[in-house]
Amino acid sequence: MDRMRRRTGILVLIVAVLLVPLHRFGVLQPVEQGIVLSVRPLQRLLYGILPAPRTQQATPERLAELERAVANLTVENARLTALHSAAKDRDALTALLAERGMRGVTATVIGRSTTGSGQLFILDRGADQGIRAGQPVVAGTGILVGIVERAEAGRSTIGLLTNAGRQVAAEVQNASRSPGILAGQHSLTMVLKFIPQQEPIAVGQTVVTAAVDERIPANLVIGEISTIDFATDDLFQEAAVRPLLDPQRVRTVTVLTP
Amino acid sequence: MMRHIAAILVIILSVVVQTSVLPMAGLAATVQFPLVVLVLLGGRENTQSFFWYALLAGFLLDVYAGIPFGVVTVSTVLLAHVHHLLFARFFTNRSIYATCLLMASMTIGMTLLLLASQWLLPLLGQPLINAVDVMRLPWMLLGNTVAVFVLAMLVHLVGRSVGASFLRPSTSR
Repeated sequence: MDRMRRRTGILVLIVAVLLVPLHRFGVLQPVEQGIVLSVRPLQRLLYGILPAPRTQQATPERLAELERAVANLTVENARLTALHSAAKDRDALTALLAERGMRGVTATVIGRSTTGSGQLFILDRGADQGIRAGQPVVAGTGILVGIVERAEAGRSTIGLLTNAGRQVAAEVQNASRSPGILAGQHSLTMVLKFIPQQEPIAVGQTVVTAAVDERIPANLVIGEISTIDFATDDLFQEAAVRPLLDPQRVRTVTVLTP
Repeated sequence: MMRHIAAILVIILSVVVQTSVLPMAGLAATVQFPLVVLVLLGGRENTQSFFWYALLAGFLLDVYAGIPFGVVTVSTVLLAHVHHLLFARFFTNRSIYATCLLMASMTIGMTLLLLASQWLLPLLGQPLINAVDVMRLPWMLLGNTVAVFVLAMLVHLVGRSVGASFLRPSTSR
């Protein structure tokens, strides 16, 4: 029996190691896609579940009934407000895409994953819809929130701009369009680095993408300057950039495709 | 057969909960739900099935993980070996306390394996785990141990009251 167990253990370990090249060469693609497609409805259902409202104390029957009704209406109101807000964002985004002659794939965030460099969002749209690695991802009214890291059939993964190691060419929306390199920091904020010392930047100014990477259109809003790190003996100045959108609240995004 | 189907469904559900529910509750970094489920299954199923369950859980986690494919699968299967060794040699009485201790060992083991993967595979090009993750280890230990305790109690109570045979420990090890 012990020998059987040992053999099974070794066999499973070999299979686990073999899965790596099989995945690399795409042999597992149908299996992975099958899993993703079959699990997706459940993920959609569960991802949005919020904690149920709690009643504070025991009350008379009628009062409890009314409290329940108020709670239900509050939830319904919140849902409708969210839907209204999402529809407004979608309209604004559609107008933006039309104005710039761009196309986009709207996707729902169905999961999240954390790595050492930060947070990744899992989307329910993938290579089938034309999504490719490196494409920009916007949310809300067209605010750049991340870049596609991996696109496979039926799903894709995006890395947030706030992730450590993520860098994007950007510029400040001021008279001289001060250029810099935007880098994510600690999965929380971003820093605009390498801004020439003489550039007149100020707190509150908007930071947008620069026309450097052909896959990322210029003038996509990223965030606004919250603090400036300026030292007279340095060649460059740095500015902390606050995201205009809390990524934790993002449920729907649009991947900008060529 | 019923046992296997139930176990596979539970593993799939645990992965969905890990990727879609726990992040919304801010617990994704504190509770590793598939690992909790695996530890529970390890104490109830025969060892050979358990190895396959570990492979399935690792594979599913890898499908949704942002890190290079295979790291989680291989780590989970290696952990299953450690689990088997600990259960066979040290935590032999299958009590709830032994399960909690085993959960703590598995949590530390997973963190160490991810650290080891990072050092062994420097060409991966991205960090799998960082100092913040290691500092979160005490919270993970607490979260996972509490989760395994609660789940074990639930399974025990439900299994007893409903009489579901697939919830009872396997007789063959």
